Amino acid sequence: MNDILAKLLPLVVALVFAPLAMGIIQKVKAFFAGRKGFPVFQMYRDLYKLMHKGIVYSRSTTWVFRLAPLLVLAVSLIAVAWLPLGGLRGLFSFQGGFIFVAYLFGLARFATLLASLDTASAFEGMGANREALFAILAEPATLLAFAALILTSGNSSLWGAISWGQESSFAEFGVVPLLALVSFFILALSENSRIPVDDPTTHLELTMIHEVMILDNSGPDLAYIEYASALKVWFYLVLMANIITAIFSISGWAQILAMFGFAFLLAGIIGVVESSIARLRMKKVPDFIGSAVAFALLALVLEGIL
Amino acid sequence: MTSLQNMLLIVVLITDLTMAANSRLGTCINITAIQGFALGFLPLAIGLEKGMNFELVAIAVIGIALRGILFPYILHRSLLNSGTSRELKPIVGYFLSVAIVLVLIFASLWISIRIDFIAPQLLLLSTVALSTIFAGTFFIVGRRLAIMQILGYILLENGIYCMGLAFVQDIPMIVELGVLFDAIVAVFVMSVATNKIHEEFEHFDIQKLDSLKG
Amino acid sequence: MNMLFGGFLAVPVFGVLLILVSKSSRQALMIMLATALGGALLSGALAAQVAQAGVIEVAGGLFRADHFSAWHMIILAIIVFLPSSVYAYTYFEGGKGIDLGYAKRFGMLWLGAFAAMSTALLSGNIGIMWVAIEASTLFTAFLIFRQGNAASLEAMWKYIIMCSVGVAFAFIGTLLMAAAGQQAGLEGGDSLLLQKIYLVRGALKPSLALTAFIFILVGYGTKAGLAPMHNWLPDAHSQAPGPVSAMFSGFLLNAALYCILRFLPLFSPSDGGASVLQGGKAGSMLVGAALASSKAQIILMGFALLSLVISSAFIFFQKDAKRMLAYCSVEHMGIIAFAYALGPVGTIAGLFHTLNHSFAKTAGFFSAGSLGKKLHTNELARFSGASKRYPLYAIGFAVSLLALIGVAPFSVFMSEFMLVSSTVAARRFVPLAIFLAATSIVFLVMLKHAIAILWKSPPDQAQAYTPGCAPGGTFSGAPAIAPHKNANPTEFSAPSGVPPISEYLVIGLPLAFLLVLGLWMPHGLSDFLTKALDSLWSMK
Repeated sequence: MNDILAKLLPLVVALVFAPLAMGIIQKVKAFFAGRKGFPVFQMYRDLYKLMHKGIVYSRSTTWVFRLAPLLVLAVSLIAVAWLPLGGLRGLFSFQGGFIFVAYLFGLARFATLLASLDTASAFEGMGANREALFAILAEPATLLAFAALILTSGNSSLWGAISWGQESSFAEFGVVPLLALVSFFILALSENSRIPVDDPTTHLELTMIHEVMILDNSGPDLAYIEYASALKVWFYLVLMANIITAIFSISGWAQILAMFGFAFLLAGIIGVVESSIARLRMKKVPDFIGSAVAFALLALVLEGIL
Repeated sequence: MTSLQNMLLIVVLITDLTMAANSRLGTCINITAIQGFALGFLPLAIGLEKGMNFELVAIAVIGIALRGILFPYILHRSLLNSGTSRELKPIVGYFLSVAIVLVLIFASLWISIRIDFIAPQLLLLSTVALSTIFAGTFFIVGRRLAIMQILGYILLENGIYCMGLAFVQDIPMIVELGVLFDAIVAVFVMSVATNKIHEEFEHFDIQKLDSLKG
Repeated sequence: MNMLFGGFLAVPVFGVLLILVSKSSRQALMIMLATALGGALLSGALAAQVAQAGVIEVAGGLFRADHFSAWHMIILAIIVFLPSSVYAYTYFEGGKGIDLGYAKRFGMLWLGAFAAMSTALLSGNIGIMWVAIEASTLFTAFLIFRQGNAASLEAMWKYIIMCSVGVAFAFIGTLLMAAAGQQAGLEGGDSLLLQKIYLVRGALKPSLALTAFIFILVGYGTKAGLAPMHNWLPDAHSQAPGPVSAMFSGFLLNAALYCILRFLPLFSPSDGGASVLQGGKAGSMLVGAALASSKAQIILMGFALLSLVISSAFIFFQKDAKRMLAYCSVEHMGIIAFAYALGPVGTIAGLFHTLNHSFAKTAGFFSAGSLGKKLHTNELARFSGASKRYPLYAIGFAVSLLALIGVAPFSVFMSEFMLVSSTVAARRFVPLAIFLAATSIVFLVMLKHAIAILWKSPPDQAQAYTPGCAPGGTFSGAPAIAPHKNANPTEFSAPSGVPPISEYLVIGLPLAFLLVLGLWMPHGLSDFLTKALDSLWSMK
């Protein structure tokens, strides 16, 4: 019983707290912009509101467009089920699991891309194009960063990759995960369509990437997609928080508490980053994502040396 | 090598990479300053491990003063004179530059593993040394602006300094100081020369200096 | 004895301080001249000391003089530096042609370069040697630059970057050599002392020591102008003012080459030096073991041959007098490196050729510099027939060209002949063939130019007087501090009086020496050379 509870806990936590993290990002951004901003629980209300609205489908769309939001949500939920929380393994865990999770998110993205192409809108096609390009660049970074972590920990499950630190100390293992962490942070920004790669609050179709792809979604469909992206942000936050607690060798229940702290702290940092730097020009985005690859490679090299 | 020394060396490695990614000359100068600080503190970190002595402290202080403060100061001044702020068309693009520097880092690791007289605990130091030397040479060849070439030279010097730490024990202080002195004069002479080039040609672009042939 | 070593640093420093407070450019140049004279006297004294006492060491081998370094010291101070200073004095018209700031800067850098190069020669520590060579690069860089002359700026930048980076690689080599020394059992600072490394050379790890040597060869070779790292050299030599070119060519290159040569014996078989010395006198009695080249010598030979080939190709197509002399320097550096690469067998020829080349090249640059200044061009085509209007410069230039290519009575012929015979003795026939081919090309081309200067009729007069007509800013007239002078062609329409007596001396004397040495080698000199050979190869 306890065992099942421990396995379910990370998933439940994710489902409950993901919108809160989004709220924190918004709040920090509002604070830096000098506004009072929405309450941190605004996203729950938004989701509730959207769930009670009707759906409008464009006449040019087909079943692909209708399936995509559900698929995105389902896949994201499954991916989050792999997410460990501190010492607690996720619901599922097996060797090589990180690859499976990485491509689950890939599947979600694929569904979104198809749906946006299905609308036959020029703008959405353009957004899909960009999203695909950046995803291609982000993929090697994700895999390399994981590879560096896995070589350090010697365990290729997602849980093993980011939670090896209980017995080790900062002095011996610190650098490699630190670099991987930097890499993941850049990925968190680019994969979740945050500034400086994409602006989630933009209102100009020409510059949008992720938002433009879901322009045609409405009602519960939009809610699914929004919730799925909140889950993805939460995934990255907890991933990074896991690495941090591993670096500092915090374990036990303190680790779970610390994880919450770090996850929300990282959400805050993302908010600060979003309010302090401008969006990059499209041409520069590959360089930015490329730097994640560079950090991951560097981590890999150092893994070989240390 | 203790973790503190490792951290300093990794800072050096990361500065090599960020140099490759940056087009703003001012930022690049600051990056070399950071590298200079990291290298300057290195003797102190070694001292913490093996016992502090006057020589280490002196080298650290002089190193920080020169590499961390004086070089960047000189270069910032000649940058101000020039009014140039970034290199727009490098011979090798920025994305490719990062890739090349990464390859150079891998190559350095490969070489360091093969040099058999390097003690395993010095592997990181020699990798950092070699890759900084390679990166410096790369910036001298792969960038157009005179200031970037000076920065490349500084990187080269920094790398050689690391190499001295990795390969040779107890270099006499007089030699060490002589080398530092030469580095400072070289940077000074080069920056004066860039100022002259700017006065004479109204640009910094070394590629365009091609009147002498044959 | 300590006094003597200190003097080489103290005299230039004293001179620099005096120049700092000098009131006029004439004064500054005079002080520079006096200091150069002091340096020459010091090096004479040093040579005398060494001839008597053998090796002199100070501060535990940090500074060290033997026959080999004393020989180079004499060439530096007496044969190159003193005449160049005298020539600089007349080149700048006793200070009338330049302003005070330029004179001060020139004098200080000039003396600084002297101090740096003598430190390089007199140091037994390979670290200090490196510091000195790098310092000499930095001191000499701004000597190339003349205000308002864009091409000289370009040449200077090339020089700084190429030589600084090159010499930085030499430092990598130095570190590797020290690491090799430490592996062979040397403690700490001892691993930088050449003498100490020599003693453990049998225990040096071959691959490591050879890697170190390659770095050193490429590094110092850049400064020495060995091909293919010679690109900076023709630019710097052609753009610098006459006396600076003479100093560069006459000794700056040799100083860097000296540093390479110092490392060669570390690779020779353990008893190489002494046995060859005994065999060397008898010529044919050379033993096979002594003839075997170390890998270091073979690599040096490769660079030497490449320098010969490349320089001869560039000389063939050359249209600019000073650039031709510069490529000629590349060629002669190649010849000297060739000689040393043969091992102890060729060393005497190498030593003698160093002397001859410095004599001939300074005279050549002096006369070419003055001739270019008078004619407002360095184009070889305009030099033809110049002997009628500027007999001293034109004849001086032509004769030094003849000397440089090894025409018979001059001693360059003697040293090249010695070189050829020792190459035959060493049975290095392929390199010999390349050597002969390259030098023959140079011989023919430069002979043609010399004949044109001496006997051909001048080119179209009207064109010859157009100032600044050389393309690409290779114009090298008076230091452009006073550019208005060049704008007035009438001023130079007639030969402006007789050249000062000092110019007769600095151009005539070296050539006279070359002639005398070609006909008669004093016994003392050959004895000194033999000892220098021994001090290079067996560190005695």
